[in-house]
Amino acid sequence: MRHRADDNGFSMNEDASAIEPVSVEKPSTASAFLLLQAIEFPVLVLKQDARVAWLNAAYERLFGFSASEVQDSHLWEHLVTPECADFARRNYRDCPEERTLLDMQKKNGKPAGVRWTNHLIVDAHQGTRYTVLTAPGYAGPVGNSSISTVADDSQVQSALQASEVRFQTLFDSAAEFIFVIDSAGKIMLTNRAVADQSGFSPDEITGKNIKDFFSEESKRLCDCNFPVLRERGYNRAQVEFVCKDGRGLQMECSATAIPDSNGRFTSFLVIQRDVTERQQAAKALADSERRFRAIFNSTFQFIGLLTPEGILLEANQAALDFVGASNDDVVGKPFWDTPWWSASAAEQDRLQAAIQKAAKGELIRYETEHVGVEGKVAAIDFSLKPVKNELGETVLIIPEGRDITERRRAEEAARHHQRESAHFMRLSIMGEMAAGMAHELNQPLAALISYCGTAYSMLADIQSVPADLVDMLRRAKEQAHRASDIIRHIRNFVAKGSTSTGPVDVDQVIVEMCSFLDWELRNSKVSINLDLDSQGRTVKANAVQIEQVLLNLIRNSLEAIHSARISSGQLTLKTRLLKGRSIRVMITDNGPGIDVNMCGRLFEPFHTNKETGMGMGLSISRSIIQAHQGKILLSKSDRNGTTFCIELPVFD
Amino acid sequence: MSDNATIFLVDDNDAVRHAVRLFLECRNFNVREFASAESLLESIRDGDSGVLVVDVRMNGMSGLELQNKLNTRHIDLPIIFITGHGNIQDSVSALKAGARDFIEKPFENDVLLESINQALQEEASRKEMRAVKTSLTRRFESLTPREREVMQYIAEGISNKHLAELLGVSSRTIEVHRSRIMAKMGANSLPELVRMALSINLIEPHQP
Repeated sequence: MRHRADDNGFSMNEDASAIEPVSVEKPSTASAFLLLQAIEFPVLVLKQDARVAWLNAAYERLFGFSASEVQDSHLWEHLVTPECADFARRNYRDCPEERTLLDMQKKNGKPAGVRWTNHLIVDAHQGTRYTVLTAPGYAGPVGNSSISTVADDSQVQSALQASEVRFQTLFDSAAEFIFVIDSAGKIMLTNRAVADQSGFSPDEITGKNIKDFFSEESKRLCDCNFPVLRERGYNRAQVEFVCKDGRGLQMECSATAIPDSNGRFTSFLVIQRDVTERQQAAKALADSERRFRAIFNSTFQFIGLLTPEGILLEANQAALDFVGASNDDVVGKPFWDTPWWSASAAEQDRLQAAIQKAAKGELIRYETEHVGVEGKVAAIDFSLKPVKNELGETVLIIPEGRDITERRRAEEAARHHQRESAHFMRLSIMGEMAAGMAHELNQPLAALISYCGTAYSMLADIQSVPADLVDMLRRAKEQAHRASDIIRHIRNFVAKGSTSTGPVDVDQVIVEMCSFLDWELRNSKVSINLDLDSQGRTVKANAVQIEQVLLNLIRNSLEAIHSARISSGQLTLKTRLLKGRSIRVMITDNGPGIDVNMCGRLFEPFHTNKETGMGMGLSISRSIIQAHQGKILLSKSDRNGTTFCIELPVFD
Repeated sequence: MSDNATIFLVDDNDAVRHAVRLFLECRNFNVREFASAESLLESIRDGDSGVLVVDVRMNGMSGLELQNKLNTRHIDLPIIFITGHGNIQDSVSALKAGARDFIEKPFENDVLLESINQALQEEASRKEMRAVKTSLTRRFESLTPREREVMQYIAEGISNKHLAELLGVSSRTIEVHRSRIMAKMGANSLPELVRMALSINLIEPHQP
């Protein structure tokens, strides 16, 4: 073998110049194969799954295995001692470390410790990864290879050829740059990847010093490292390879000395892996990390990170600012012992229990109140989100707090408004009912009192009438008056509701009311159209009462649309300024219209066509609008819909 | 004085109408009752006299609308509104349109009676005034054109002498005119004559 290698010009001679012409003429992967095959130290190539892809003649010689025997068996199956199998499996199944010490096993069962240097090679076409194990320091027995002694054996010969083909494929399909250089750095051999990726032709590469392809800085680095390589037999560095077009490739470079028959390092195997992308990815990752950190810290939400045990790893700036703490004050502490929770022992207990649940993978969410700096109380929507690894174990918990104080306040205001509106509605209904009842009851009472009065005065002229009878009539009349007084009293009491008036922007009232009605509108699938143009004028009114009237009309429309099962309900609210003196509001629906029999007494109390209605809505509406010196009327009603019209005098 | 005066009672509530009618008839009124404003409008005539007692809120035409209709027809009878639904707006507009009274139901019979009597009294004195005015106008019309002219000057306070110069006649002639005017008008004194001139709008009352 060595002999053949020498024929190809790769002598292990220190004098590189002597071999140069030959190598330039015939750079070939076969030569590299032969080179590695001829190397005195063992070389082992493993596939991604750590099955044996190839081993060199030195390996065969030193350990007694032939390549065909262990082909495709796992590293740990035959090649290492049983004791070392676990270690080998752990190390080589994934990405092996730079150097590993393995207890290898010879075929005869004898152990031999080998310190391997691991090179990673990736098949550029298939993405398959190989690990090349070299052991330049492993001193096997020196002498003629066993292979040369059996060179005539045709079986061995064909096995060798098969082995050569495998290696060649490996060498040339590798994405890595593979060089063989002499001790001065002159390139004797490269693989295809170098030419493919650098843009230089093989002729432009072979024979040059490897430094010539390095950036200035890398050249200097190379000068420093080369003596180390020569001394130790291996080295590793990162260099920048400059392509023909000037592009710089960041190469992770590992070099292994190839000793000659005298054990001197006269040539070196250099494997360079392009890590440009990896570096870019690393830079992108750092950028992304920076960006996320910026978001993390600039968000108004309170965010942190907890271990599953509840130890705080990090808290963002918003959260720190809320309690006026610094990172050092809180990081490393149990979350419940931090200032966010110090106000209440009950909250601390609750949190601790919640973290335990979250650690089991549950998403926890609840609302709390926190006291921040300056005693500011904030309503917080708090959650604990478990982050799981691929095994489903919780590895982190993200506590998140959203300050919902403002939302709370708005909700409270809306609720208050609703309550007030409902209260006013009840009062209005009572008032209208009292007024309606007063009218209805005062008729019979009027008749009753009149009858009594007349009867009383007729009896008064007759002598023989029992005094009790006269007295009873008087009392009956008194009681009728009393009934009337009670009715009047109720009416006056109810009528005393708040009637403070001021300038009211009707357009604004409508817009606010619509947001208020949002749910009802969505629920009834009615779309609302606003055409508001009061030209900025206001009316003198009580906003709540005006809203009440509009709500009454809108609810009537929604009910009408709903009861007629109209699928595409439309409701239009329109405002216009009339001659600068009054504002007209028109409420139009596409409901079924109002029964003609109803139209005449539409605004009278106790008149309704709704099964559950009291017949108060429109009656109240009219009372309110009349109290505002306005008008309310039904302006149109037919099968295609109904329009109500309200006019209110403008506020001067 | 209420004897046989006519009360036009308009109310859509049968019980109220019946009770009020009973009472008014006890008090010797002549009652004509109507269940709606429309039926009253159909049967009332220009020469009718009496008092209207009208409910404000009724089916169909309201009491206030009825008031307007009567005003446009120049039927100038006193109206007393009765209402089961007293509200200030209604009462103000009713009184502005010339209503005599506005009574809330339920009411004591005497309250209505008093209001009716008052309306009748006012109506009577208005009638009397109208009668006086009619007779004065008739007497004034019996004067000669010259006497009417002289009466106007005298009522305006121009002295006999001054008037004689103004008309270019002797004072004596003026005195003759004057005594005839006093006799024809039936006035006993100058102030009475002036009052007469005022009531038939011969002269404008002096602004203070």
